[in-house]
Amino acid sequence: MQKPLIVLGWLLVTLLLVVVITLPISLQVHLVTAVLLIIAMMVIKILRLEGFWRLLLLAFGTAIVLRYAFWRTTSTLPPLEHWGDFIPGFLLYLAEMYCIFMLGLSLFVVSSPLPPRKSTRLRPDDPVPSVDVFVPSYNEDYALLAATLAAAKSMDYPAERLTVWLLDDGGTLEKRNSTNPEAAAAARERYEQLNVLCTDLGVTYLTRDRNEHAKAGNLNNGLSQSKGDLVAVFDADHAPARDFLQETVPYFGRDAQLFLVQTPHFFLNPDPLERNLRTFETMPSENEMFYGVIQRGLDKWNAAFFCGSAALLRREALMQGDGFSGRSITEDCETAIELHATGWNSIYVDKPLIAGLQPATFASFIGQRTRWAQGMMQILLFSFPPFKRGLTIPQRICYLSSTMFWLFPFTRMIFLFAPFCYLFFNLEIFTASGGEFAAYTMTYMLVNLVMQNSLFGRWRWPWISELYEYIQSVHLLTALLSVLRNPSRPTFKVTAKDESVDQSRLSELARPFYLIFLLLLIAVAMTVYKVITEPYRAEITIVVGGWNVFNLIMAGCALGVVSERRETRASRRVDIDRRCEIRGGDGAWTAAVISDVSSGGLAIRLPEGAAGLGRGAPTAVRFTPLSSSEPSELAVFIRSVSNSGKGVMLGCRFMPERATDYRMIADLLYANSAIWQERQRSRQINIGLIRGTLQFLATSVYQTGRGLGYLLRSSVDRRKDAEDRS
Amino acid sequence: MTIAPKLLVAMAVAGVLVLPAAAQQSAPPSPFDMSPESGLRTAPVAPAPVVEPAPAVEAAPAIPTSFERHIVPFAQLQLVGEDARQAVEVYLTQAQAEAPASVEVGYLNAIVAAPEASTLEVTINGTNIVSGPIAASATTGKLEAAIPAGLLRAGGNIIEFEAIQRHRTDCSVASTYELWTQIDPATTLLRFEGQGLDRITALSEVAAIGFDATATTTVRFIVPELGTPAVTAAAIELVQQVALALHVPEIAVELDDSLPAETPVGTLNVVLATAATLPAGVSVMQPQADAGPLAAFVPASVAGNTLVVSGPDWGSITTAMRAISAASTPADPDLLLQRVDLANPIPRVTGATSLTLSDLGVPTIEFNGRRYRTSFEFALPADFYANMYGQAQLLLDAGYAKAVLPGSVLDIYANGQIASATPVLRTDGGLSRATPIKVPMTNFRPGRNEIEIELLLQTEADLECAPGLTGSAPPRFLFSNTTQFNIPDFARAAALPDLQAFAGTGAPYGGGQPVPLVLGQGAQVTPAAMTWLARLAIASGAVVPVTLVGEGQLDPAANALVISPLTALSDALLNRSGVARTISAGPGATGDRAIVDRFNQTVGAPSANTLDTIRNWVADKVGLSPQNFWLARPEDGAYLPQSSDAVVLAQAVQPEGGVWTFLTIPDDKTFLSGVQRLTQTVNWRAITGRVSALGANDPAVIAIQPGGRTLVQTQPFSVFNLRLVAANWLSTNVLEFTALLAGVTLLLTLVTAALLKSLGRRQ
Repeated sequence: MQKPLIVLGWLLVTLLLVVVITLPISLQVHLVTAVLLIIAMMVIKILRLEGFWRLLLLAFGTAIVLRYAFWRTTSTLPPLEHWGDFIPGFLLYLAEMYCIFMLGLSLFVVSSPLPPRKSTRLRPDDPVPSVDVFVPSYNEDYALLAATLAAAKSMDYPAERLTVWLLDDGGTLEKRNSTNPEAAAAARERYEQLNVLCTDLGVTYLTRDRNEHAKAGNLNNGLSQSKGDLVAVFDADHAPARDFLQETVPYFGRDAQLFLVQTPHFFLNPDPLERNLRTFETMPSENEMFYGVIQRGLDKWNAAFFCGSAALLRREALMQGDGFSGRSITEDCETAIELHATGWNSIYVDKPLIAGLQPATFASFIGQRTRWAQGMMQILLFSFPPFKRGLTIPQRICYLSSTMFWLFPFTRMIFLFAPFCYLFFNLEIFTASGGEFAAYTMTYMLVNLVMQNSLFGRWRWPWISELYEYIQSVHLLTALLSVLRNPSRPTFKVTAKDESVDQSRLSELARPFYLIFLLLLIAVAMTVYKVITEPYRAEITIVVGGWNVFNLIMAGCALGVVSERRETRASRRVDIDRRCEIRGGDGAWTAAVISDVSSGGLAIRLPEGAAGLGRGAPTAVRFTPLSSSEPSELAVFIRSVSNSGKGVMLGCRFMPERATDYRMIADLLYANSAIWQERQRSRQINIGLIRGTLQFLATSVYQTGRGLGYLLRSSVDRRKDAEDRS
Repeated sequence: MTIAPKLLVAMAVAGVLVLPAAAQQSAPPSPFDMSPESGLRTAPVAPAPVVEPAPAVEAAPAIPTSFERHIVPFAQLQLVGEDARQAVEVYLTQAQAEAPASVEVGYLNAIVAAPEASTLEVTINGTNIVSGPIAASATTGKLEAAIPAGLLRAGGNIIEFEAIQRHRTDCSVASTYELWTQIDPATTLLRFEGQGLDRITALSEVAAIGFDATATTTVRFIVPELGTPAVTAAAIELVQQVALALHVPEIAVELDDSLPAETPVGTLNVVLATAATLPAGVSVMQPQADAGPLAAFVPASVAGNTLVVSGPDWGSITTAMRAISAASTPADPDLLLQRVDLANPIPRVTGATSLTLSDLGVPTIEFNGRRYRTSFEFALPADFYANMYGQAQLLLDAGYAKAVLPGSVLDIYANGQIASATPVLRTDGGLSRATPIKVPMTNFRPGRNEIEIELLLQTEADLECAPGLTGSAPPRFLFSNTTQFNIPDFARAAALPDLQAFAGTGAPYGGGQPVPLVLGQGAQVTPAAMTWLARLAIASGAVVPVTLVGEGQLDPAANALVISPLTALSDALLNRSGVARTISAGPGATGDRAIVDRFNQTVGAPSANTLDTIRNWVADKVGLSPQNFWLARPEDGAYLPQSSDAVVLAQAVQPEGGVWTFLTIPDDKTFLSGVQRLTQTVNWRAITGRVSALGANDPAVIAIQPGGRTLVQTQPFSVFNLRLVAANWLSTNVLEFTALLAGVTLLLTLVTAALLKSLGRRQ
């Protein structure tokens, strides 16, 4: 009874606010009001007030944004008669309205994100459902699969209720009988090796006859062959922590309608932006905004969706539909929307329980994003969320937000090229005086920044969203257009994640970024020229030129992103402090500490001397895995010896030979999820608007230089190559 | 077109002798009364109002054979710039329209105007009558031409003076301000050939009284029973009717005991008396007056142009007066009443309106100079309440030649204040249609509004300025009168006190209901009241009927007018007026906070506290006044008149609800002259705020804005109007808007918080 009353009250107050906001008050009043409200917002932000105050800050911001939208709609569009101005002007208007609409949607989504759920475990008297773990693979290499499977197998769960499946699409009958003899031989070899690995690890190997319906088809094949109550899905490069099932299974006992427990993706390696801009260690990763706050916000509305991996699903729900949906190329989100629409629930557990790899090169990063963008666009087209039957209204809004987000390449490109309309073609696509621009547009942009920062500041530093969007937009725009032309055309392409960049070079996708940068540079020159030769409209030229300079800063920073830094290691080190023993030169075991570990090797600290070990010596490390009480040995090879204040540091490389070695490595790397959370927390600091902006500017200046340097070097190299060849 | 005070000086330098108008006057009336009484017809008996023209009387000896009418209704008329025009309206009698006529224009021009490239042109009713080179920089030049028969018509005739002027040597925009031609009001006239053409015989021809060489229309009232309240009220009503019928901006009222011997040109005698008390000079009308209501001109043989309003009793006189009102009803109710100084149509705008400039007397023009200027007018209602938020829009149809550089600027002025300055950015040749230009309505006002469009053109050729260029430059600019001026729907509410609305439209005293009027003691009170109310009638376009009441009879809940010297005002009444009896020591030193604040601001005196400093700084930066940032409205202090000869107009909203407007002066002896000065168009249009005062030595009206205004509903309730009224009020009261928006937002936050608690997962 109370709820409809509150909803009614909310609607009435909203109506009142709309009435106040659409009053055609004067420019000066708007300016003064906007400034006062911004001051109030700043105070709330500086005092770090939470809860109600956070909502108030967002409401103040929304009021100013809506006033801007009202003004923008009623008095800035060029007249229809001047269609040369009107068409680009209207496109820009649409782009801005899209941004405001998206802001509204995301305000709804993250209005009150659920606080992280309490850590949970299966209680002794809880039912223990049987679990099938699916590790779908297409072309991942042996070592990667071995690590993931070993980690999956080591999960803390009754062994008789846990079956781990390697769903190998790289060894299908179709591949083994390929007409290309080399490929067929490779597939056969892979098939045999992995079969052996699986037998050693106690994992079930499964492949199929034909590679149909890509990942969804592969998973469905797994479904048809298994019969566990629950299904966990891990990408081949996503290794679960020991507590994954303990943290997720209990929820299924509490809600019979639960079909999904999704957990975040945590990455051990940087994405190309993080690597090339060297921000991996300090700045929150790109996906942390999604997993840190957006999924929690979606969770509030029972709209957390399946992200393809690191999730536990209910077989009953999957079988009720046709398993994993494969109409779009983002089968995960599509499966979730279909199941939500039939009344199933989902939850999100905000604790990193898997660790994995993400695309290392810019090209594969773009490949991955192309798939996401195209897939989400397919969902938007095929099952338009606002009209999707069976979804609750909040779920419709949430899915609309998740899918429409991927339209950003259109708006980014419009914002990028809009200043050119004026600077190069003298079009007047935004009719406003300098005063109006200051009163409405500047306050709007400032408010937007403050709101974004207060919503996402811990997970996303200022201007980084814009940078990510920009670097994707250049290539995603054509991909989106191809979906619009033919929605069912795009096909699933597996993203390579274990590449490494062994030589500093320009990305193969770099060219358009340099072209855009050049155009923006010319536009800057044009700005200066116009200011000098047309002093009577210097004001507007400076405003548009300033916008262009902003684009230039963004584009300059992007040059750094597409200039791939050399990095041999696929994954970064994770600090752990674990006691161990190392076999010394004399064969005796010496107590030592494993200080950090990566997928390739580990570092050992010996407090008292090198124990007779030197560079190049093979030896072994002995420690007790978390999954058992007995210590085991792991063969390593010493690559470096260095003296530190606290003793001798040995850099060792793994020499895995047997399946048990992989189990040991997995235990070091993946068993303890608490480390990952620690690592994320250390990066999740809101550095604030001013520091963030200054830092971004500095980064941009440096990266522009680096990007141009790489261009110079690569053109010199190319010339040298040409000379060598001739 | 500027009316410059320099005129007389310039003429003196030029050595021009201005002949007194009287010298050209028609001869005094014949001593012999040859007119037979049979020529008069008895007016029909009431109730029908009477308009009985006395037929022109012929055969008077020594009657001159020509008659001259002054046609410039301004004390001075200066045409400034490269293409300056001024239209005036001249009302003619039937006889004048039919008589052979010629036009004479006396003018003097700036020496820098190049005669070979400058032309003065006179157009009558759309027909070009005469044009000649502007070449009279040393002595008054003259343009003369006969007017073709049939061109003039009885009633209103539009005469337009257009000066095309080019500088001899200079091609700069600044030089165009040095180009002027003064049309001399004394020697610019229409000459009619024939006898007795000065006579007005019909009520419908009253406007043909015209004005004298100084553009003054004098109305002499002979009211034997003046002093009796009902008679005074009737006289006040009659003067308004006459003023409206005369179609002039203002009149000089004189009171006489008897009919003067001479009636100069531009003067109308009005006799208001019952048949029994008709003064000796017009006793010939007695039989008619005895018979019933009478409103008619006396025969020429009796006196100069004299209107007799009479009847057997005051009831029938009231009936007779209605006949005069009927003679001044505007032809088109959507237009303002035409006046001799407002020849172009002025539409009344009451809501969303699109005005096409061609309907407002603006011509399409091809222009080869550097500063083009044109203007048009429209009228807003008294309850126009959109000056703080609204924007009108000009949809400009104009073409620019390629030679025009993009640095050119289009300025728009509203009532003399700059409203927008738009750079001309596209000069790719050809006509560009409907270019929208926003015009803030900040300086729009109730009543008549003037919008001026000025284009400052820059060209390469002007920068080089080859000899002879100014005269021969190819056309650069085409202004099309298909250009439109769009006024959006605007808020309508009265914000009182508001003397600007009062002076512009007569509000809140319109509507035809008799208004209580208190006349104080003083010799000049009655003529001052008549002068003032005549001006008010002209502004409102309708008579404001009054009932004379004593001070004690005033109802504070009803609107009222008070005219009295300060000394004659009781303390109680004075308290309600917002004016103090004491005269302030020096200029600007008044008890009014607004003045003090303004003074402090101009001299940069430190404010009382930091908050004030911030507020004033912000107000200054965003172009508002500190009043817009007041949360509490300060009480208005009593206004101290700045000098004893300062006539003070004050409006105060009584706590009980009535709006009382006071016209007062410290020194009774200068009342009439003070009111006459105040009613001159230039001063009358400067009236605003809650107090407007003008002393004999003040260069301009001093106006005091009220601390707060009372909003009064004037329109039937509608949500739409309420929204616009709210927009204007909140645009006036900045912090109130902030508080409102923040308050509603806070409310929204509260419900949203409640909603979020009840919706979705909570955990």
